[in-house]
Amino acid sequence: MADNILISYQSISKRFGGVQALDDVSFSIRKGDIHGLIGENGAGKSTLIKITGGIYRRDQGQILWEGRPLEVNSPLEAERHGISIVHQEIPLCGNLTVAQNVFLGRLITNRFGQPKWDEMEERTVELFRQIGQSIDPRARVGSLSVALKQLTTIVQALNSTSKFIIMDEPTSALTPGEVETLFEVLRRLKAEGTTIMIVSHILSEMMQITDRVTVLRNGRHVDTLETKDATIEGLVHMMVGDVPLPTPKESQSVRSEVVLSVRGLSQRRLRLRDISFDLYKQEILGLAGIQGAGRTELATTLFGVHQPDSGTIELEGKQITVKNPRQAIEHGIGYLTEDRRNLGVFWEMSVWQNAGAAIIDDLTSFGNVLDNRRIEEMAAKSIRDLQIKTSGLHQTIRFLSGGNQQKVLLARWLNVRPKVLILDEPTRGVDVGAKAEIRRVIQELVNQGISVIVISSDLEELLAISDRVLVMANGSIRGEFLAREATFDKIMALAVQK
Amino acid sequence: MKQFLGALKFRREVGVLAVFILLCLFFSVVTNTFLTIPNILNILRQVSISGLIVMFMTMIIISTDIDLSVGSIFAAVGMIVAILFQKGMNIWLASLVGLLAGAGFGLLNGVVTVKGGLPPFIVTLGGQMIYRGFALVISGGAPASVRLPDAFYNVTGARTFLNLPVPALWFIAVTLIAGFILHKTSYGFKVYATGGNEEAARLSGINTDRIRITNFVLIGVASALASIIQMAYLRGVTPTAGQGMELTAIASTVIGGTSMFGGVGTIGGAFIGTLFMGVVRNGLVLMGTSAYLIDLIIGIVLVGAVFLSTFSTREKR
Repeated sequence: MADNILISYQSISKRFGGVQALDDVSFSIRKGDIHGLIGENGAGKSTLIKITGGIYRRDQGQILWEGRPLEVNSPLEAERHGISIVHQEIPLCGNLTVAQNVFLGRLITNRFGQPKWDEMEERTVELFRQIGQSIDPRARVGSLSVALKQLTTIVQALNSTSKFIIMDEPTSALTPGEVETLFEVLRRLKAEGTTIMIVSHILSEMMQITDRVTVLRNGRHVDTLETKDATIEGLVHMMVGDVPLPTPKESQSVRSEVVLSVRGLSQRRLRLRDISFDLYKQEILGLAGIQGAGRTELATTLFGVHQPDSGTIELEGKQITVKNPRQAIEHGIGYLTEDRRNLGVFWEMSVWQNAGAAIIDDLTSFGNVLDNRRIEEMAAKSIRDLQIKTSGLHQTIRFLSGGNQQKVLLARWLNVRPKVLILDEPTRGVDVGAKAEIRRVIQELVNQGISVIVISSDLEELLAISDRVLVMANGSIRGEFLAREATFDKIMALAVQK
Repeated sequence: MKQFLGALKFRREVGVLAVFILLCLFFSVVTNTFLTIPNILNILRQVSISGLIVMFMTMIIISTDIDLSVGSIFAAVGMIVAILFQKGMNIWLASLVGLLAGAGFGLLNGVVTVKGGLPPFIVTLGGQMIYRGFALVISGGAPASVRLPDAFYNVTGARTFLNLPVPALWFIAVTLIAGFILHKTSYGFKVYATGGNEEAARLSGINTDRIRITNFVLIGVASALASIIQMAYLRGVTPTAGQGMELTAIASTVIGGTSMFGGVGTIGGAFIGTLFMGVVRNGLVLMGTSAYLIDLIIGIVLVGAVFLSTFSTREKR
């Protein structure tokens, strides 16, 4: 039995302050398997990965690596054992080139220690070719799309001679075609004897690619089972316990009152061209499109981050100009960013500070003096309404799981009491349970009279929550569907047009 | 209790506070004079001038900026006030002009840095030379002495008020005010937000440009106030005053637990950091350490203290 086991977790426990992140977790991964790891936000997946990679230390338990106890105290040591990790949040040096990133820490040098860039660039192109992508190895990573950045981290892992590759949400920023390519790469690696552990919220993908699946819930091990014996419904049930799944959208907005009306909006630098649409009161308007279609650019332009070259924006019948986000917020427009890590979270600050950042001037009395009573009320309401799992309002946000961080950011925008709320990939990197909660919150917002624009790369989700869907491609709007009449095929046909 | 200790662990100042207390114990044991009321008041008085600036250096570093021109603003304002007074202007009015000049220098630093999108290190390095040059030009390079009216002297530079040196009282008052601004107001919140993640702050509707510029103005005013108090205490000014003051202020700030990466730091820490620098220097002098050795030792202490404070709060793994 022990012979075919690569890594075996035995009674692993880990605590962060008052939160038990992992509680007595035991399971094994077979050599040459693709092993799925699933669970809700805060289930302990990321913690387990970080313990394996030597980023965190476990409090209790031990890890057996090919039958022997494994002690890793740094990512470098982990790599020496042949363990590489493709992290969910992409740790690349944006100022360096693709090739430089791929070979970071393992430069090929000549006798005199000079890096041989030509060779490394060739190898980079070759590695990308293996996963079916063409790339300019001299491109600055900072200028790449999110999908290409993600592929770069995967190539980084391929480049090291790993026995065990751990991938944390590798598909969250990829298009269906890119996901398929990635899976082909994984199957090839598996055929060569590499063991892979993959973390994903997209259960259909897990069913497709994995040999076995381990489910964690609230830091505990629920089950490890053969994928062929599993069903999506069964896995969801193990992940969330007995919580009802989100019901599909029933109520349709009354298309009477136009809240936001955009006409002829263009922005040359962002390649936005002649965008016109209306957003109705209490409507959820989905924006569909592939990476680079200009959805985020449209959203940030409406939010005042960029200035349009031409076109008009009317809010409740009055033409408005939005010079910066502050003015957008004053007009009642909110924007939840897609880039939680860089543009959303204040990492050193607490839950309440993150939730209250956009309304800080309203949390004061006597002029500018912060009012603890208002702060506590705001925080309590945010934590309650969004069911944020935190040890308290003063908890530093970085100790929360990704999904709970996202809920805190959502709370920031709910606290603004917007008329129009733009949600950019609100459920990216968020698990089934939190997805359901976020959907519920969006529906509640609409019931309270708010109009919502949702950008999501998950078409299934977009169709489930939207009343109406606009399809964008190349910076302009290519089509419009009522969600109940739209299909994947119809939308994708428009989205991939040149 | 456990909760309480847990909270302490994450406060960077605690490590420094512990070292500070040990240091005070050490000097108390090896010298007879360290732990005496006159000496403690003397330390407070010695650190008070740069201490006024440290508080706002802390704020400016939290918002990821830096100001290297404080020592020159200090000199320039001192010369402005002294010259206006010598030319017959009322000292109160001259001081007001001095404070406004400090604000103006700060505004200039801030606007050029923020609106020009330039690195604050470079802009204020330039400012350091420009304001110093200004001080030298208007003074012709010569010091000026002033005979101040008692009413003014008593509330600024007097050696005693209720047996306490007045500059030290200013230092404590300004510390409390700065603490209030940074920790109890929405302005302070915005300083942390700007330093923690400027883009996220802007997307949350915070006018980060205004916050950063205001921080430059505040430190300009603080430098001016420090200069006026010093002028009163010394009854004179020199155009070369305040050289190296920015480094002392930055050192105190960093010893006090403020991160050079921004977003992290407290006024409490800045206060400890200020006293720390003063105590080390004072203690070494009392021990009869060679003047040549003192800077060397202080340099080691600076790096050591910062190491300890980072070490004690390094992210738990």
